[in-house]
Amino acid sequence: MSKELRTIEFEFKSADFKEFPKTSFHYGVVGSGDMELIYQHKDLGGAAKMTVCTPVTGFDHVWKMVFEKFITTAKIGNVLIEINDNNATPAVVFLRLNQALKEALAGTELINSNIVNASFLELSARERAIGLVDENTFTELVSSYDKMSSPHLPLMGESIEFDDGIITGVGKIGEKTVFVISQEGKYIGGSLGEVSGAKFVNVLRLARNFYESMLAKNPSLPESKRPAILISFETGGVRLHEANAGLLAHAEIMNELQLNRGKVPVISIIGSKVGCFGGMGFIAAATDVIIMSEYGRLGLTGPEVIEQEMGKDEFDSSDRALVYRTTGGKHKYIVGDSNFLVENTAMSFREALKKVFSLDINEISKLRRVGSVEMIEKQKKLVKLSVDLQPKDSVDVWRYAGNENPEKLIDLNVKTFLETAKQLNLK
Amino acid sequence: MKKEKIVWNKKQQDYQERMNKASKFAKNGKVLEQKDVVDVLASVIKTGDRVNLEGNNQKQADFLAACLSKLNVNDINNLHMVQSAVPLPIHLEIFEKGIAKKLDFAFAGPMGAKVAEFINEGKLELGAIHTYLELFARYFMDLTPKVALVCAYEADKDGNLYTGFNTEDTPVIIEATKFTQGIVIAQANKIVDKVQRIDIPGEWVDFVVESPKPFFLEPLFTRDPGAITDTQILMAMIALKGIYAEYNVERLNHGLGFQTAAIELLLPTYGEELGLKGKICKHFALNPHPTLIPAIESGWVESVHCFGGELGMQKYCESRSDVFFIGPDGSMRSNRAFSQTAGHYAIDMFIGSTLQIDKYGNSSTATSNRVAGFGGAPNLGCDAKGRRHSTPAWLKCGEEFEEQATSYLGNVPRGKRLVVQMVETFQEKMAPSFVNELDAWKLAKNANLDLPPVMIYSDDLTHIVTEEGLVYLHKCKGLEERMAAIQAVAGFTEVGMKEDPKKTEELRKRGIFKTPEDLGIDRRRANRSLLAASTIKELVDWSDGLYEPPARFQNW
Amino acid sequence: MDNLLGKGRLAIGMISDKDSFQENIIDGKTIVEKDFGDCAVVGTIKINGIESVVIGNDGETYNPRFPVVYAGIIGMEEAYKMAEAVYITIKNDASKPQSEKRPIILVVDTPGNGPGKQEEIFGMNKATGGYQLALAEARHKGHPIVAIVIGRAVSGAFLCHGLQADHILSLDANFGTMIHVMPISSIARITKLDIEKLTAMSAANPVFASGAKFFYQLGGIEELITDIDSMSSIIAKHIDEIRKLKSNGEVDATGPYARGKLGGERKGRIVREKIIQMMNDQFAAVESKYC
Repeated sequence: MSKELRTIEFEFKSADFKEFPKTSFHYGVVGSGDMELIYQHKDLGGAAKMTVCTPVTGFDHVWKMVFEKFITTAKIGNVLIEINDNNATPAVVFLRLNQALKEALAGTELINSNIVNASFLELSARERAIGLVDENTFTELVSSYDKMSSPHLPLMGESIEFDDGIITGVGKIGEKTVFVISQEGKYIGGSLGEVSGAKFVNVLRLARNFYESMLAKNPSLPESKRPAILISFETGGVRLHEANAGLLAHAEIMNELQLNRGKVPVISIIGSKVGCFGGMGFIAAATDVIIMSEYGRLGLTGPEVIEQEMGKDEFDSSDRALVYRTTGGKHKYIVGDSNFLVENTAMSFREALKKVFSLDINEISKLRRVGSVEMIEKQKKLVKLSVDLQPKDSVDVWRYAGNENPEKLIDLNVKTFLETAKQLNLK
Repeated sequence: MKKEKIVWNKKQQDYQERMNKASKFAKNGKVLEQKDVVDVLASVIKTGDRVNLEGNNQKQADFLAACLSKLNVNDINNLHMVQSAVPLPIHLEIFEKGIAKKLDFAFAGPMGAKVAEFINEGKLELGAIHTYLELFARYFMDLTPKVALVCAYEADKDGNLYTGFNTEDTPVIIEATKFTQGIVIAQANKIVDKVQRIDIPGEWVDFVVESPKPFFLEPLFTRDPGAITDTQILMAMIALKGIYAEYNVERLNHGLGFQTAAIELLLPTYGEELGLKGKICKHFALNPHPTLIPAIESGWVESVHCFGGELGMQKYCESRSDVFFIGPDGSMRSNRAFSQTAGHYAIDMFIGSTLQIDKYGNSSTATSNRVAGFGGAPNLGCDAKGRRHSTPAWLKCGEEFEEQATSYLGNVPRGKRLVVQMVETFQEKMAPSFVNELDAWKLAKNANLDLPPVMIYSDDLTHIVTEEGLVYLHKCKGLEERMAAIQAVAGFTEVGMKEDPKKTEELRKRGIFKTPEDLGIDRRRANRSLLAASTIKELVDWSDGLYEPPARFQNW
Repeated sequence: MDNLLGKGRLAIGMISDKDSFQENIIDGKTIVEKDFGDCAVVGTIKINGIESVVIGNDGETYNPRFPVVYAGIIGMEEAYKMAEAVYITIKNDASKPQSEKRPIILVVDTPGNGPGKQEEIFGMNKATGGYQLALAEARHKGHPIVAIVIGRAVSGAFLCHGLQADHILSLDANFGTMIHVMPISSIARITKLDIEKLTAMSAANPVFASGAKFFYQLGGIEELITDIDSMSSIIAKHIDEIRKLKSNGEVDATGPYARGKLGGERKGRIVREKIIQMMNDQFAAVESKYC
């Protein structure tokens, strides 16, 4: 099957029109069956122009008609609309064009207060980035408006996204400058390619350089002003279409994580649909602190691959309850692979962050699970437990940890779980 | 003249003969051992018999099916299978082997392609495709089973059966079979000393056997709120404001799918906002949809009668005895025949999705090489002509249709059921929903069917909802106007392309076509934050932990 | 000899001075118990007289305690064993000047990480992450780390065992070496792209195709080795080079970040530099707000 990514263009002028008021406005995520767009004011003699970058063929005439119908009903002019499409139906296209225009005209930028109490699981990468830092403090770096999409995907007929599936930026939490990396799982599974890899790596370096310059200006920099890095993971690891670039970027990230130790704390935030897997699972494990919601998952190998390797009797990947018991937030909390279990809101993640930021860098470093020979020794005990206990299911480990009714744990709400569940304590 | 002596109890004699051959296998009352079942079947079934093998929509007598498949085709063959559904591979295996030859059924689901294949290859002779209620009706006419192979939760040695939550079709099958001297054999998950409740009296059952594992049960009606899209939410808003609210629909059925799941999840939020609580959605003929939980918990629903059970919902239903049909023993009893009847006569609206609608308004889920069947939808998605009692919604719709009806009724007024189809103009892989000619025609040709299988005929269809808006087809004057209305909502499909903008504008002025804006709906609001629950976990929370989703739906 | 696939131990023998390999021993002390991490090999060797720590994969054995670990797969025990060897090396050389920190040689032939149930329950991702961190720390402290691919260098296993090195060398394709995230057939299946087209595209665009040559273009490999007998001398050469490059404390003169830059120069990674520059410029413009 041959695929190609093409860009088609249309221009249309509505009889009477209103000038598009903003300079530019971005909306949407290039998920499967969806699209993103940027509205941009442009002097076109009253006309509207639309470019669509799409892998779909044979429907150019439909795009044209949707566009003309939209411009006729919306009556806007002097606007350029740039779309990255991933198989959106005309219904979705028309919906997004309208939703985006309404947002653009109403001036409702993504507001922090709408986001912090919403379901974290539902939030897009951008909403998570904004929701984790204080209101009106977030500046996105290399944003959608910079249009640094993947130069490789078009050759493979794969849809591009202006931010390449990763939001990078900086904000504040109280006095602290916080650098944020947030992955968009809806776009090719949040996987890492050349562009997203470069963005990820550079945030880590930028944060460290920033810290060092602050320290140079003020050698007795207080803890409250020590910058931090937040990574909202939602990824399967390496993007196969750019496999080699993705893999090499992973190695760069690990290198940066080691260099940031003792300088800029790195906190993993895991609570999104795709979870954190593949090479990114290594990276999360190597950060200082891990905060998860019960919807988050952290591991190496995806459930389908385990089933493939071990057979359905050993591991049935369609048994999602099993999948969550094996790699979900509650399990990771019990075995000590994560530090915090929180409710499914950005507010809850922020509350955990508050606790983290009340510690100094040495205390934060103690929250790590790998990074020294002592920590390795501790982890080896866990591996020995695997050999000795031979658990058929995580529930066996929870029982071993001292939980009398381990099967009931999974259905407890977070608050009750935290009050009653016993964590594994290996001597 | 001497009257020839006619024997009037041939069936009784035949029953006795068959039972004599098999009785030696019943060692403990009516209980059989698993290893003897094939022999028993070989004793009680004869070549050419009409056999019901409980293939319901949800539950399947899979152990008995496997035993049936082990019969020696040289001894027993050419059976005529009469059963609601054939969704399992084993259902078709018996045709492959030649044990069965003819089939009358209502739904094939995942086996649809194979059914078509077998018809073409001559392995399967098709009687007819029915709706469930239609097939049940024929059990009492010309398709009475000689042998019924059913499944139950519990059985005792006297043959009493507890069918409970998933009673489904069992009562109607057994009544028809037993009261024509037929033979009834049941597989039960467990043989007990005393059944929890007698759903089928032991006198009507000849043999029972404990199956090696519980009967197969499929959660067909569970929809993960996590998969509901913004477009589906927009269309749900259109339906709620433009139809539910306008007609005050109190009694209804929701067809299967994410589209109606979106409506159910919008009741406590958008429905509440529109002030509709207490005015709509009071009585349902419906399977236990997990997505209805928030609406039930918020006090919208007075009663739900279920066609069958839904895996994971049993405890929840039992704890809501004010809403579901719970017996004196505390457990639910579903009953497809009665639910279908309720859905045929006692609802005021059917709303559901489809795959294709043609330019006239005929709706079908048939594809060119799959004989999927009808299930029960046509009974619900039609205007039951036998109905006589009125409700405001039925009268209002009838009034709106009056002009069109006069050519048949003269000046006599009549009500009409709302039959609504909700569909996006393009589906997955850009397959258009609105077509000039249904794929059902191709199927009729490929599978040698008498008629192209239509789920809902255009004369029953009153409303269509797409992302473009809503049309009130029954208000249209004549076929051409109806076609113009369909074109107005058919978007950029081949049907929609024929739209005449002037005609659409006229329809809009007359209130026959309404856009979301005409209905006062803000498209921006069509997003998932409007759902009362956005994950399966939230449904569990709404139900106070009573809903126990099957493992495949858990995401925590 | 046409290839060393699966033969990690043999490779260790080939690159080290005769009889210099001491398994499980660093500075005369046994550092790991015998029945642990069977598929990983650690110990001390001499390369052209230079005392080094060696870490490799044994493709000819299996880990009896973990059914998914065999043929050189890096499982939990293996990764922790490898990590510990690195940490002990760091500790033992802690007081030595940078020019004397002993090299760590990674002999790479591994088909992957352990894809199993136990591995997910007990967090395999920590083991591999932990090993990477250890190597990164050793590299930053001045230990020259040279990885040499003698067989398979796949995906996450290569990520932890190889990609943190200062320099990466590889026997060229004639020796059956395989460097990739996933074989092109699997990539084709998962991305639903035509395998012939992918293969054709990979010639011009090395970004996803497998093979040492492509990795070289992306800056992933510093040198391709064509003569199997010259492995030890080439390794020794690189140890020297690395010491020189790192002598002024410049951590980025070698290692992952340097390979990133190399990729740009070799035109394998084309926009990386631009993005880095753009982000730095954009931050500089708002930096005062965040001080």
